[in-house]
Amino acid sequence: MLSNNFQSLEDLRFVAEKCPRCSLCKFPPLTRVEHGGFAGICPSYEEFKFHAASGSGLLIMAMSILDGRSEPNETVRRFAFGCTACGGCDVACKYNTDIEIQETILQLRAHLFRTIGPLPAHRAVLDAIEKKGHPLTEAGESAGGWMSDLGFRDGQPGAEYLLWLGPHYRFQKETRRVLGRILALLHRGGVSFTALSDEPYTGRAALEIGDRDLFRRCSEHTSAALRASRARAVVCLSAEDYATLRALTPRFAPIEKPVLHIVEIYDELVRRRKLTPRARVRATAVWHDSSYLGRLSEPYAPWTGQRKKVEGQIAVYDPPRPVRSGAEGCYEPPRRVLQTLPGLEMREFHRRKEYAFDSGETGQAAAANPDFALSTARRRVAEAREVGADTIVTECPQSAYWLSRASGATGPAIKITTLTDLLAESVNGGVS
Amino acid sequence: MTFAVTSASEAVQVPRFAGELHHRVHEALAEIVGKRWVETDPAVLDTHAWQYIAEAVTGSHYMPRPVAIVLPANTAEVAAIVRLCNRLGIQYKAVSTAFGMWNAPARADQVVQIDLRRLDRIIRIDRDNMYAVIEPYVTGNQLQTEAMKVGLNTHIAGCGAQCSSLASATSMMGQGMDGVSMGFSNRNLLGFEWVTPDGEIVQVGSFDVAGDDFLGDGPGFSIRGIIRGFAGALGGLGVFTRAAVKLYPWYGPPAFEQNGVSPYYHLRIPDHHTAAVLLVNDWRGMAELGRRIGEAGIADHLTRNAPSLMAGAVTADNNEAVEVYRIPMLHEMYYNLIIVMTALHDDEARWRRKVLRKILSDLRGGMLSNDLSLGGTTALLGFVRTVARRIGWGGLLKSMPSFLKLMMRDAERFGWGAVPDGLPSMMYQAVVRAGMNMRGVFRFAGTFWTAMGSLVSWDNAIRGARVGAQVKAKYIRKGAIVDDGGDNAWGGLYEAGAYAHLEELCMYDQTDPACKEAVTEYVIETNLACIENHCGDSLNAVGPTAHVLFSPVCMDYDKFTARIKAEFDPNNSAEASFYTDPNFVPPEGAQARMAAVLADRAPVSVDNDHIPQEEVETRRATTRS
Repeated sequence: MLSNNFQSLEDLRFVAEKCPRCSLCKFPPLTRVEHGGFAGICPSYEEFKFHAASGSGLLIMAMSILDGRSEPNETVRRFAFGCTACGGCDVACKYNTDIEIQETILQLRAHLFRTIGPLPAHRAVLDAIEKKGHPLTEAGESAGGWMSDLGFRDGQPGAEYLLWLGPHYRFQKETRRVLGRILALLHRGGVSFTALSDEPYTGRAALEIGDRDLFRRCSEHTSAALRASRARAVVCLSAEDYATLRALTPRFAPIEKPVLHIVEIYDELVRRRKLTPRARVRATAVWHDSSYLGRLSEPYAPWTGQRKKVEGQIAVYDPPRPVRSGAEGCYEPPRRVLQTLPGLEMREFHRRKEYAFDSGETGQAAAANPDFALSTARRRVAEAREVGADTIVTECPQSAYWLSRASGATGPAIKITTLTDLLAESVNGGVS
Repeated sequence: MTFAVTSASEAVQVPRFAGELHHRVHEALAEIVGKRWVETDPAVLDTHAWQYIAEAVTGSHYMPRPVAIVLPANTAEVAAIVRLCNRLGIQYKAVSTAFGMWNAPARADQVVQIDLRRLDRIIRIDRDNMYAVIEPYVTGNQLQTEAMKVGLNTHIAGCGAQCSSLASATSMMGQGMDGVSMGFSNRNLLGFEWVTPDGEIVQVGSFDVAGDDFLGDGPGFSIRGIIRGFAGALGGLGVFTRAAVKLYPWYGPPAFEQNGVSPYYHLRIPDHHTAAVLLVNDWRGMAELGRRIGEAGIADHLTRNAPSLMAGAVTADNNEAVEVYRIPMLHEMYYNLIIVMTALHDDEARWRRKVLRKILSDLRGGMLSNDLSLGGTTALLGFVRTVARRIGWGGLLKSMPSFLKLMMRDAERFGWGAVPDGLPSMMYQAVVRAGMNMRGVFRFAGTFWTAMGSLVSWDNAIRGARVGAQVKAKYIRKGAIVDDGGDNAWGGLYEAGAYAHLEELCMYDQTDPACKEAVTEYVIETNLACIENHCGDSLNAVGPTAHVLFSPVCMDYDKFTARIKAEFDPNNSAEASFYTDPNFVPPEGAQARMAAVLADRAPVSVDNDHIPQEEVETRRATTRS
């Protein structure tokens, strides 16, 4: 029996060895390419240029190791973690095939973790998770008093939503500024919510580094915390947690509540006129589909079954095997909200939605190679300039961080802001 | 016989890691390009060894490893690498997008792989003179995207728009679906910058003297002919670092209107454009259809796709594709051509459609198109009648529920407004943007191989398709390849029908030893049948083992290419195993393999004027077995 819950590189062989090395994984689905200068989808291939840095290249190196032709070593690790694991290659490939590139990259990382261990920077991240309960190596402040200051009541009975804050909102002061605005909007919209002062970390960084045991433990804690909550649904403030709870945690521990992202709540509140944008927002803005909020948040589709051959040699699955094409990411809700903001002129990136170009924050690549993350964010900022935007809007704290660092690096500065900020500015008439 | 004669048991072994040589080469290359741009790690080298249809040569996914991979930044660095290789007595092979085993070395630890990835600029698009100057890593898709913004379009080879335009123009065959209006890659090369096998930098054609001209050949002999001929030298004759390629008028918008999410996109067919599946009743009708469309000069894209390929193109996975392929109405759409016609204005579009409808009406055929006029509806009825002639009205009725399901599927995804042109829109995307080629040929079974496919007259191409289909039927019956009905001829007409090509695709599971074995035999058999039926020199006329077979019946071409190679590359420094190899030694077991195939074959012979009924029946029986 085959399964979509891949546990090893060997589990992926049946699709991985079908890679024809056609290079389609390096580009958005070709019919969607709009600009010859922004025609790549793979940040690491744009940066490092070797085929080994592409989705296909990483897959081939994984197969080479599996076939006993080569050994895990520093070079393989450099390429495997010099990748944002943003899933762009996976979407591009699956436009035509059912090859599981993203899964193979994550399993290659797990294999490298088991055989030669993590990179020093990643070891520090894992240590932080183990010791501090979150992956932010430079943040140490514990969650506590500030929550009640912001109006949280821990475990409030009868609350409809459990807000899942995530480490960036809980432990980074600059992000907590946005948190205050989020809560104000929710209060204004009449949303009843609660949060957990001892919210566990969902563990994505561990999985991306290859420590699947640690991720399993994080998943089990997360699952137990959600089960204990009486809220109807969980609302993630962080795009990373949203992607993790929808697509990764369910493979290790059950998630029995609907998982939403805060932009979906905004969308609902605006549609139901619980929030009414009034003040003009002077911006020519482009929405950045962060990989976590976009393609990587497509829900996990459990499947077990068999592969059969019909019509001689056509490989089919019994029952049909669902593949994650990126189609079910969160794309429309933030756009709908932006469109309601008076005065805001919207643009679109050439690469958007399921084939958006990453901004450098995903896959723990930034922890190991911040220059690469910055360079990737610069490419995204350049694209924003090319489409005539003066503002990039995102709701992913990591995207906002890297895009902000890149925004003035080359060419005229681009303003980086969040949907929360723009919505609050308009709803509150410029006073937030 | 072809390069396919090596069986799995004779596979090239995993090369030993030649540490000292790797180190020495690594250091020398790093001096030229910087350490960052050289790799000699075995796993990284395998990313160039792993290639499409490598199993045909080695029995595994891997071709032999190069000794190093190097990424130069410019022509000067390329020339320095080439001179270094000459000096060290090792070979090199340059690649750009590198899709296919001919990009890899044929022997381990002897070849530096020059990856031209960093040369990726569109240097200039000259709108007035309709040409572009490009570097090796510019893809067909990138060039097309930028050219369309200024009212131009580019030829894209059948390997797909993700592949390098320069590599196809200078070094490969390069047939494609736009050939009826844009020729093939050979015809579009106007000039090139060439690092010769010994490291001299030469500028030819457009780049010569005036610098801004756009002529492919000057007075005297054709250097373009020398460097590529029919098939190109596949990297065996130096490195091409810049090319001027011809562009063509694009009577369409600078960008397309699209919606949907992967893997289903709907593209609104631009105003005045027509996309259609044309259907006639038999091979003879198809021959006449192609000829008359070519003569009329109405088509921008004209291509033949077997029903199985169409089923692959319009679906997102194999389960869905098989369901669609089994719809009797689609399954029997053998005698088809897919056409895209562009026009400047409504009057021209009407004229083109009218001409097309007249041709179809004369041939008792029809079309399924985005032409929703009265005439278009009449042609649609002609399409339905043509299908009914093959499967009967009962079969047509039986098809309706599945066909309606397909329409509902489109409505659900894109709204009812998108339904009338749903299939034409998919075909338009597949043909004009050339980005869905993988769906049928790779997704079905894992990989494919091809046969026949020389550039010949349209009649001859059709004969080749019929020959290929008959050879293939045997392997379908064995269960070794995808049952696509035998006939899976893909190709089209070129330059208003002046010449044509149809190659016989054969899809198989490259991980199954029995399939690999059978396909190797299939290629040998189709090559023999190609020669016996005077179908030209086959797409498989690649590499010395194939030349032994084809050269004597094709003007001894191999003797000329060998002389060119010797003259320009006396050190044999450009790895040329798939071009012409002075050090060629016939692989062990080749003779025995050939003898086995010969003993187990019945020669195939066809005549376009006399198509026996049993041929039609055989195919139908095959597909239903």
